[in-house]
Amino acid sequence: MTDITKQPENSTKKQGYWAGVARDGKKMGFWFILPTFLLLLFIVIFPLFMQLYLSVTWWTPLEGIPWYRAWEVFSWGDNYVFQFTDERVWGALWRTIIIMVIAVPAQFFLGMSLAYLFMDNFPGRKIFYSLMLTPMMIVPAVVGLMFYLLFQGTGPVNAHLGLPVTFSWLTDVNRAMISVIIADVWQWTPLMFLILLAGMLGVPSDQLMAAKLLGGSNWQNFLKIILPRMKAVIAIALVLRAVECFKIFDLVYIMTKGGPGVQTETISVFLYKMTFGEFEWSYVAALGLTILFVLSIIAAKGLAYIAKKDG
Amino acid sequence: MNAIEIKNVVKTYPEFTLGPINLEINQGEFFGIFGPPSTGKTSILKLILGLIQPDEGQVIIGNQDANAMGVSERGMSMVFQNLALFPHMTGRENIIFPLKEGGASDEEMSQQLDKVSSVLHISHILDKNPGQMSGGERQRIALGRAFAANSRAMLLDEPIAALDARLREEMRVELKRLQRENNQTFVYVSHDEEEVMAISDRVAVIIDGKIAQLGTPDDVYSRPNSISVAEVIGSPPMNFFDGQFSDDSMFIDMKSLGGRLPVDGKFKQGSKVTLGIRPEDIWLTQDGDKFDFELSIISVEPLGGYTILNAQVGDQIIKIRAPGQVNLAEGSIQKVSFDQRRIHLFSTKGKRL
Amino acid sequence: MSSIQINNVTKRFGDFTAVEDLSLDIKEGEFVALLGPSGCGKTTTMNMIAGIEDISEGSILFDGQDLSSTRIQDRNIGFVFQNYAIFTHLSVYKNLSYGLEVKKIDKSDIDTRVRAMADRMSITHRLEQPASSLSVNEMQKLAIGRSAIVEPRIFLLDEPLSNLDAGFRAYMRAELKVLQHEFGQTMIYVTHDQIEAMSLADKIAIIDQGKLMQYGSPLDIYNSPDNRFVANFIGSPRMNLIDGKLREEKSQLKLMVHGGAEIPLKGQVKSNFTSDGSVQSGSFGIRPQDIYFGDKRSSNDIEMKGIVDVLERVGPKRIAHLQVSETNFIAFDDQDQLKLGEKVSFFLPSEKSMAFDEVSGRRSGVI
Repeated sequence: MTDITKQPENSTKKQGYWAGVARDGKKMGFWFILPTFLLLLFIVIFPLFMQLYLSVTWWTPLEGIPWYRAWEVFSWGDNYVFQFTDERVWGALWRTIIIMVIAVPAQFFLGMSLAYLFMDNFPGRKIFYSLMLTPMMIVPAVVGLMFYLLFQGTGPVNAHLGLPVTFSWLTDVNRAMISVIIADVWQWTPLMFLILLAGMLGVPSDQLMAAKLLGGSNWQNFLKIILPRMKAVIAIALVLRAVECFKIFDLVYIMTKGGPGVQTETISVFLYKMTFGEFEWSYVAALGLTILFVLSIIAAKGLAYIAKKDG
Repeated sequence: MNAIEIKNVVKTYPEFTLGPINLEINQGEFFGIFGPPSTGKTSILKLILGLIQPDEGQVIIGNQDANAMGVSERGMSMVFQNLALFPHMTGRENIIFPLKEGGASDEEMSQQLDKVSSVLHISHILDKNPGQMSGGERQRIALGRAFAANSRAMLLDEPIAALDARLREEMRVELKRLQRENNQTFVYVSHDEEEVMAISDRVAVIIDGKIAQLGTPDDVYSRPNSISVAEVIGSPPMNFFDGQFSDDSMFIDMKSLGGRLPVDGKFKQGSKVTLGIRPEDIWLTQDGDKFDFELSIISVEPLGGYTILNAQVGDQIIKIRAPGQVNLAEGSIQKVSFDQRRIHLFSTKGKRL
Repeated sequence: MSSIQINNVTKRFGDFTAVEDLSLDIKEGEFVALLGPSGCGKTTTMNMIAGIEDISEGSILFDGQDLSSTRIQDRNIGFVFQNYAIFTHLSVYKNLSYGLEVKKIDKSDIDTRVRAMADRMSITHRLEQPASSLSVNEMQKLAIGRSAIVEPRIFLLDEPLSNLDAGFRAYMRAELKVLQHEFGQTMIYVTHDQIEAMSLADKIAIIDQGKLMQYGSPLDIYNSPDNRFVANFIGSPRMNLIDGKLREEKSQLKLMVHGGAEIPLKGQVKSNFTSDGSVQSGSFGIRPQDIYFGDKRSSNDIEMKGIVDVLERVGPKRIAHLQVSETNFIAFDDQDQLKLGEKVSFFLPSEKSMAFDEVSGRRSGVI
């Protein structure tokens, strides 16, 4: 039995800065984050400032001067002012919001219903689960192409519904929007399903059992126990999808190119056309920043709500 | 010779302040620390181990100031409440881990392993993973790991709290035996007073972050120095009654019990006093008892070797521990007396008289 | 209030049999404890009563009715989980009112009943607070109140006191007993702590590895254990059970204990061991409080010599562990006289000793 009065033999105190770092969690954290932080700086922060710089000029690649000399065509806030009077901007905004306001809730309710079905075990659950997730794994552009083919006048949808070849989905003024929304819901409901199911399974099962033993029907338990406990998860799912849906591009561009005319032109499609069609890069820069600003506010509000819930 | 000394240590937490604490733990002593949950008992272990530093005061280990020593240099083993076994290692690997890290030879390691596994009866589970073991087996592996390290002292934080009642009773005897055979210093924290009292050589009772009493279990049980200590030691807990010394301080007037209790000793005339009496020191009145009162039986708990009676006098509930198997009807009225030699008197401030 | 009849119930999880051929008759209004070590199947049994688990074989009848086809929601069974399963996102009030709300009872009725129950459980001052802010002790009271308020036909409690600190546990034991009398419901209580079972229950069912070991009142089980397992499990401190082989040496029957000790058998315990002629190895049982020191009191008492190995203080008493070769006897040091390391003589009264067959575990010499 070791004598307690003797100092243990191998007690050495390592000296030096790095040994100190090994001991201090905070210092270690700083050094570990540094490489990633520098990378982030280069990829995100620098281009952001570049964009800000361009947005207050009239510069386009057609001007003939390199971008860093854009100060020569300074414009102050003219680009920003112009945004507000541009009808096409408002139109695109309006259409984007319509798509978002219809598609996101639709995905939400479908996803929630499916999640509820998947809560308890049933034979074949694992297989169905994998099948359920496939739509969101497909590249959006491919989904776009898929629905483009499906919704053709001569395509399978019309054939199965017994509709004439002249019944158009993609070129009719109203039905084009509907087609895009359907495609989006099809692709992204699985994501909602995934997130909401995870939220549901996070509800302690013994509390659910206690609720059942107290006489609560499945529906009552859903409303009073499951749903309230999913508030944070629901907020995440909605914010996530709303922000993504606002930016919807691939589906729209491939299915309708924003048409007929500009009937399905969303903000992203508009920006794309401005950039590669008309080369109005400084205008696009300004518009891009404005949208970023608006979306950030929405996301921040959502995140604040979630953070409050988590306590 | 002090193995571990805690001198005027204070540690401030948002909810309470721990300290000042003064403790001297002797080499080879089984030292128990008892107190209600969340009052700093585990913090004392952490201070000794070096996981946290005191805001004031010193921790002295082997006559050396421990402030300069890191955790690994203090030479302590700790058994945590949640065991903290390495789930990806077998029982054997868990036990020899501290030796391996310390650079012991293969021979040393297998020697320690053999010694430890024979004493703890864990030879048959050495090749299992913690996930495959029962709660009791995991507990013993955790103990084995701490023992094998052959350290200066063992710090145990509620090591058997998670076990079944029966297994706990058996394990604590094993722990006591192990400690004695190895002549090792144990610092044992628990919120189960029966456990701590049964196996410790000395006990520190921690209430509100301070040491309320320090002494042998006999001392703390038979002569608690305050009401707060008296009410946490002993199961069922001590019964308390309000009384007042008579003008000639020869009696205590017990209003709630309707009688006067004769007392010995010098007390302040007419002053108020709280009388404490343990459940086992109340009995059915016999001839020669100078003081008795009536109570009604609410319920009877037959525990086989003894019986606990829950009784009522006015608004107050009294617990009585009677030897053997007592057959009293619920609702019956009984006359009982105190064992005069075992009354505890406390002032209005709660201190022993 | 309902009586419960458990008829030859078996529960299997794949290859593992958790409960085997269990039969129990629980009368209306009785407080029955299901007692046994961890993993013995007591919680599984209770889950089957509640309907949380299906029954593999056998049936459970409530007042003669089989409820296995009734939904859990409609069984009207009160259940207190081990970790209470309080609705942490709701207030204390809403927790209490849940069972009433789902029955669509009138709001003012609900309010009256909730307040009455909160008062009964002494948590009125916490009604408006979030249930998650309660202390463990208060949560337990809330769990009981929440189940009791819907006046279930039976009340099931799964180790309800195991999370509480020792002081509060003693208080709640007395409280539970009073509550059960007040509510008058049939109560089934799962625990691994035999002290709890003894103090609370009208009847105790001791279960080991899925099988029923004995079913009877606390004192019946204590005084007349049917088998070695029950004898070992009930009693604080536990009974001394010494295993060995029987050998006849010079017309003296002895128990040769594994490890070297020898117990000469006399009187009642000798006839117990020999009553069933085929017993060759057995367990000698004697409760610690029956072992005495000093002078021999009866010619049939067995004298043993040992060394005081450990001294424990348990409550008001001192317990001595006496070592005889490699065997340990636990006895009470009533006179507070023993010292560590001392050699002592002690006596085992044969009238109070019990004999158990080592193979079957059953007590020998019982008709």
